[in-house]
Amino acid sequence: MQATLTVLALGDMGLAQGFIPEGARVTENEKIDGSYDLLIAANFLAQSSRKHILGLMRMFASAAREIVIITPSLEWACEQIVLHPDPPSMAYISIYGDDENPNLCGFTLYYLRHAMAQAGIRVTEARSHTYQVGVGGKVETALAHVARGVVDGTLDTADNAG
Amino acid sequence: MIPKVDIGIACSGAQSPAWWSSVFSNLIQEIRAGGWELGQVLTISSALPDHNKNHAVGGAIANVEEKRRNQLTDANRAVLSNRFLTGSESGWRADWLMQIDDDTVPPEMAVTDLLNLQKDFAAGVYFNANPPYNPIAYVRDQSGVGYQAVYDYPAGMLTQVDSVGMGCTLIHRSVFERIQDGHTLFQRPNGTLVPVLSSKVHRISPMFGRGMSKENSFVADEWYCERLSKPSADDNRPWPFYAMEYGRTEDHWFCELAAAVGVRPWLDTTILCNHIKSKGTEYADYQREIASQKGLASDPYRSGAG
Repeated sequence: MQATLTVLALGDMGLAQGFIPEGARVTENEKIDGSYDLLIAANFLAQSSRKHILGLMRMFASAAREIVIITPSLEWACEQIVLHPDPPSMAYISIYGDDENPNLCGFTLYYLRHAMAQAGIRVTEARSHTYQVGVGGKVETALAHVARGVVDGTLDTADNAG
Repeated sequence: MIPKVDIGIACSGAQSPAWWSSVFSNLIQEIRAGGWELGQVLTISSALPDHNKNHAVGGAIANVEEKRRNQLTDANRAVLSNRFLTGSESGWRADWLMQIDDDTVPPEMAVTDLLNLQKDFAAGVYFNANPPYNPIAYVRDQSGVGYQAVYDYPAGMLTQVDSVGMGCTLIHRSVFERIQDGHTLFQRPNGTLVPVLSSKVHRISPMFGRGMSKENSFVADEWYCERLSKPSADDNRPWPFYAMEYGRTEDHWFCELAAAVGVRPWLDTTILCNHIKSKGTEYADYQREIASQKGLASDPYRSGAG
């Protein structure tokens, strides 16, 4: 019988939901310790100071075999603000966060990937994807970065890995 | 265990002198770093400017008969891939084939970076030499028949795509083997070889196409039917991993064979190549074009400012 996959989900549970494998046992927003198969940090890191990012990622790496990190796309947000006289609210929220959870740093996909590699996480996939959020009574679309990685010495579960 | 890598360079054009020195200085640097072991440098004569360089890299591998055909890139690549699979006469068999075009310059440590991804089939990025300078990497378009270039992607993206060029592409031996194992080889009426996914080879009704069966090909309803035969036992042509057909480049053919056996290429956008034609085409050209299209910057080419 296959063992149940254990998942630690941090941050925005709604966003994390799409990355949780079916049938997994999920622990939400606990301390970053223990031993999990998968750790999902969704809109979680941006609320930390940039100087703490590497340390947090190292904690992720010690707590789980596989890591999925989801952050607002800093590139997308900046582009909206430069290109549109009235940018969507999500552009500002992507950069500054909201009143309850203000952001202290932002992530380009390149920086996210680089930081993961520095923390000893071998990146197996890094991409952007659109998601929808309700803001002020209307639904807005925004772009998020999703980077997936494994801690060296563990198996890569991504498709046709070598 | 240190990975063993063969380098394959196959193209039909003559390369810029800037290409030769750049590619090989980068490769030598990597070999010194020791992350992988270099085996054969497999080239076709059309990618080599003179006899001395042939000698320096171990010689062109095509025989005289093959060279007539090898002016075309698909045949060149097929010869290289088959030579990689069989290994050298001294018994060397590499695990990986790194393909480079005779006009692409992978960056420093490109092979090492591709190996570190631990993907069976992975490519770096090089850009179309003409506007809009799109990466030579594609996803299926919405119709599912054609392809559209990967474009306006976030820097740092590492993702699976549907097709990549072979200008900076690392492929594991197992991909070639899975393609061969999964396909049955036939010969078409025009003499060319065509691999067909073995699971799609059916014994069809003897009544099918009755009255037309003496023809080499015919259309019945929506089906195009072509008479196929088994290649003869002494047919020593290279396995057709690549083919330029229907106006498409040969890399699509390979990627489709690989996809049929469950392997799609990964594209790592942190591995940025130069693409040397009459001038080099780099990431900066692509960035300028994107910025110009979005109104984020003026177009230095059209304004003459650049």
